[in-house]
Formats: sequence, C-alpha cells, structure tokens
Amino acid sequence: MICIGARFDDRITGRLDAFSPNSTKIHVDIDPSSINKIVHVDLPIVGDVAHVLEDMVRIWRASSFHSQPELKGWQTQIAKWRARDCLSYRHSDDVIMPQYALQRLNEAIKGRKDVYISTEVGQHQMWAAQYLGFESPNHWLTSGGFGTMGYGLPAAIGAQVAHPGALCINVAGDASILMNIQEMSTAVQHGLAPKTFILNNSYMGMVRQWQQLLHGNRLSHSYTDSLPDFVKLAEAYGAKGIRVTKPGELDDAIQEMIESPEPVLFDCCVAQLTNCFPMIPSGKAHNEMLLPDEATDEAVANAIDTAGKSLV
Amino acid sequence: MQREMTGAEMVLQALKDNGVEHVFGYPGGAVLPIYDELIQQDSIQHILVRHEQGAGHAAEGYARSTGKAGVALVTSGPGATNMVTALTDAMLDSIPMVCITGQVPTNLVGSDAFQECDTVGITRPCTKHNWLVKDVNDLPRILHEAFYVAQSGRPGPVVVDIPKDVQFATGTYDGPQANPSNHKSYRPQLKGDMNAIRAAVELMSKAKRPVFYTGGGVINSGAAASQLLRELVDLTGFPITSTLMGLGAYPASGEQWLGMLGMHGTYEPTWRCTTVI
Ligand SMILES: Cc1ncc(C[n+]2csc(CCOP(=O)(O)OP(=O)(O)O)c2C)c(N)n1
Repeated sequence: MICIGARFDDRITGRLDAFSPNSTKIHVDIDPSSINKIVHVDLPIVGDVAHVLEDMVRIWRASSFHSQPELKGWQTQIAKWRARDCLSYRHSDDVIMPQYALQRLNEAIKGRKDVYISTEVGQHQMWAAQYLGFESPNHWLTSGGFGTMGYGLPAAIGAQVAHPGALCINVAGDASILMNIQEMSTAVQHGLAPKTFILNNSYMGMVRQWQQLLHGNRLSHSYTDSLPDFVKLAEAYGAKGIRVTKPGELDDAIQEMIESPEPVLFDCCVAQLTNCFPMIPSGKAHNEMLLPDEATDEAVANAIDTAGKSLV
Repeated sequence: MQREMTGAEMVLQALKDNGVEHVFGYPGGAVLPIYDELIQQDSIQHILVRHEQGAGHAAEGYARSTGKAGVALVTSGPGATNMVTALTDAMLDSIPMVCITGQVPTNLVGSDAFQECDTVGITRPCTKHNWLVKDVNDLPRILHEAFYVAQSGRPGPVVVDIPKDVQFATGTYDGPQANPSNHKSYRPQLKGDMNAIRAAVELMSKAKRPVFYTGGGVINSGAAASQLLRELVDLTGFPITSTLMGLGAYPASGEQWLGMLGMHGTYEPTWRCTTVI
C-alpha cells in the first residue's frame, strides 16, 4: 500500500486492526507527526508529495523497473470486483431518487473544465462524492475532517470570487443549507452567481440513517417540520428559485439553473427515506460493508453491535 | 523598501506584498482602522459576508480552488469566536488561511473590555500558529510570517490578532523576505530521503497486489503533484483509490481508478485494502 498525502483517518480505515493488516506500507507525507501516528508503516518518507513523486517517477524510469507479472492477475481480480455495481439503486418514475438527481447533474456538467463543486455535510455530500466524476484537482470543496454543516454555500462563494466565469455548484441538504443561508445576500451584493442544488428530503438524512441503524429507527428530532419555501426564500434574497418534484422535469430545470446569470436555490424534492450505501458500519471492517442490494431493513437494523454504537 | 506607516496601512501593504487580491470579512469596532484603509485603495477587493463563519468558509473555498491562501478579516470578540468553526475546519483539512482579527487596545487587554476575548487562547488549538501583536514594529514581520506558515509544509489556518492601538500606531514597514523559507525555525522538509525513495520504488517493483491510497495532501502539494501522480500510476499500472479530500488528483475516468475509499466509499478498493498482502 502506497499512502500518499493521506493520514489514515478513522473514516477511511474503519476498524483499524482489519485495515490492510498484512500489507507492506509506504507513507509519503510532509508532516512528520502524521507518520506512524495511527498505523505503523514499513517505509516512511517525509517530504512534499510533488518532490517525492518526481523522484519516484525518475528512479522508476532510470532503473527500467517493471511491475510484477502477477499484477495482471490482480487486475483481473479487480475487474471482477468492479463488475458488481455497488452504487446501484432502485429508480422511480414518480419520485426523484437523490442519486438520480446527481447523475443528471453530472450529465449536465460533464466535459466542462470550469466547474467547482462544494457540498454541505450529510448524505448529499457522500452521494456527490460517489456520483459526480472529478477529473482534476482543486475542483472539489468539501468539509472532510470536521464535517461542518454550513460549509458549502460560503465555500462556493469563495470559489466564485476566485473564478468569476466558472460554474460553482453547492450540493446541499435542506438542513445544512439553513446554517449559512444568509450568505445568499453576500452573493447577490457582489454579483456572484453560485448555484445551490438542494437534495430536499425534509430530514437530516444522515442522522435519520444512523438512527435507523443504531437506535431502533426512533427518529428523534431529525425531521424538519417547517422548512422555508426555498423558491420564495431565493426570491426574497433577490436570487432565483427553482423547484422540481418529478424525475422527468430534472434535465430542463438543471439547464435553467446552469444558464441563469443569478445565484440559484434549486429545491430538488427527493425520496425522503433513502439511505446512503455502500456503508461500512462503525466498528466494522472493510469487508463487512453494507451494499445497497443487501441492505434490507433487517440487515440495516442489525448492522451495528454494542461496541460499534459508541463509535462515530 | 523601508517606509513609515500606521499599523492599519501595514496590513494593506503586507496583503498586497503577499499577492492577496481578495479578502472576506465583516467590520466592527476593533478593525475599523483597517477598514478605513481598505476603502481608500482598490487593488484588494473586499467581499462583505453576512456572518464571520461565512468569511472563513469562503476563504477556505477560495484557497481550495486556487491553491493560494484565503484571507479573512474580522473584528474582536464575537467576530473572532464566530471564526472558530471555520478555523478548525481549515485545520482538519489542511487549508491555508490567514485570518486577521481586531483586538481591544493593548492597555485594556485582560480587563474584560467591551468585545474582548482571548483570541489567541481560544484559537491556539485550532490554528497552525497564531500571534498577538503588541508592537507595531513587529507587525510587518508577523504578517509575512503568517503567510509563510499558512502556505508552507502542511498548510493550515493562522490568526494574527491586532489590538486597535497597534493599528493606529506608526512604525517602520519592511517587505517580505526574498526567501521566506530561510525562516529561523520553521523549515519543512521538501525533498524526501533518496535512500528511502529508492527503497520504496524497489518495493513497488516487487509488489504483487499493490494499491495507491492517496489523499488531500496530493492536492495541497500543487498541480505538479497531481500530474506526477498520474505519470506514476501510468508507469506502474497500479490501481489507485483516494480519500474524500483527494478526489480529482487522479481522474475519475482514469483507467486505474477504483473509486473512493472510506465509510461510504465504493466496494472494490475498500475490499481490496483488507486483502492486500
Ligand atoms: C454544524 C453541524 N451540526 C451537526 C452536525 C451533525 N450532522 C451530520 S449530517 C447531519 C444532517 C444533515 O442533514 P441535511 O443537510 O438535510 O443533509 P442530508 O443528510 O439529508 O443529505 C447532521 C445534523 C454536523 N455535521 N455539523
């Protein structure tokens, strides 16, 4: 395992003793305190990623190194794993599935180089990471380590200031967007036009999902009863509001959002009780992942044991 | 180029000398001298937010999408405490950010003055480094140092807390060092140890079930890092996965891309990580 500029965060490793326990590990990081902090590595290299990669590329070329013939078998194995569609979901013609909404958004922005995606925090954030394809660095702005609801709209504004002609989209949840909604006013004052694409499920979806997994589906205070009318709210700020409730209306509405010269609040009303899979339940190892086609209500209810419940 | 000027003028001069074009901020009593300078120039654009947390995250989005430090300017007390979430966020995701806070005048520090809080105390655990400026003659050096610390090594947020009397006081301004990496104590190591790198490449050439696990550090290291990563993946033919923070360093349409790692990552790479030898 060649770890480059990453830090073995608990959201990545899952149960530590089951994270790639027998691999030989190389770790490249500019921060010496990140090395051997969480996982023991066999070969640490302190340095800047670009500098170290440059040397690696040069040495590989100069010494005419080749990969092992076994790599072929490894690739074949991987192709088999790939064949299983781990991002599948049941499509509906009546209600918008959140995953479908993002697939349509992805279709609309594909091939464009000037797109910056930010997110808030929750299910929509994970779906955005899963369903939007990122082709180049610095185009994906998300609160990873801290998980700050309220990050996405101001972050999109910041990106828009730096790239005035670009398309800056904040993929949001209905709960998160209300945490820094006041920044709509900032966007309007400064003639910035970030688009906020709200996957509106009326729930704090990620909280509801955890309550279903860990707390007998008792949905304690994770439903928002009195959400504002996001279209009127956009208009109140002097921005544009768009609401979509049917899958068939999505493409035209997304186009309208993209072409709009003003900031937009896009109220995409989606299926309310969708869960975000795959998921490695806390306390579990990577190979105990819950996949969408296996995640029956029963499997979800029993996915986490007592020890796992205290983890986050 | 030494020049006499006020602390508030120094702030604007130092921002310009460090290549800043945009500042996200919100005014208040303890930063008014700096705001008075802002309006009398037009090379730096100020974006007026509606809540200081917004300024912090906007600076982060700016930084993340450009690779340059994001800059925020807020007042003392509630202005500073409203920044704490954004500073911590930038700390955990290693985002370069320079936050300038106003502070009550030095003779009132510690007196529970109006809109006073212990900004350097409160932000010590959520910044890479912070400074309370007590003498206007230290201000230029500290501001240049702030940009250097935020943007070098593992990037992160820094806070420069400037009491109002220091903003009004006059002192001598000096430009940034020609070579800031000659800093007396903070010199992050850029070049890796050649023996270790050689050993790593040799290990890689012998690997039977290899995987690259990459993160936000590749993005923070600049465009060249992503380019070199792509080259190394092409050369070796090794599969590659990434954390949430590292998405985009290797293209999602790339031949060796496995999808994202982690709690909601895709199936293939995570499964593989547990089985790799
Ligand atoms: C500031 C803050 N408070 C609380 C949380 C805990 N939290 C994580 S996700 C979430 C729900 C988010 O709901 P929403 O924005 O509607 O997104 P969804 O999960 O429905 O997509 C909450 C409350 C958080 N991450 N940040």
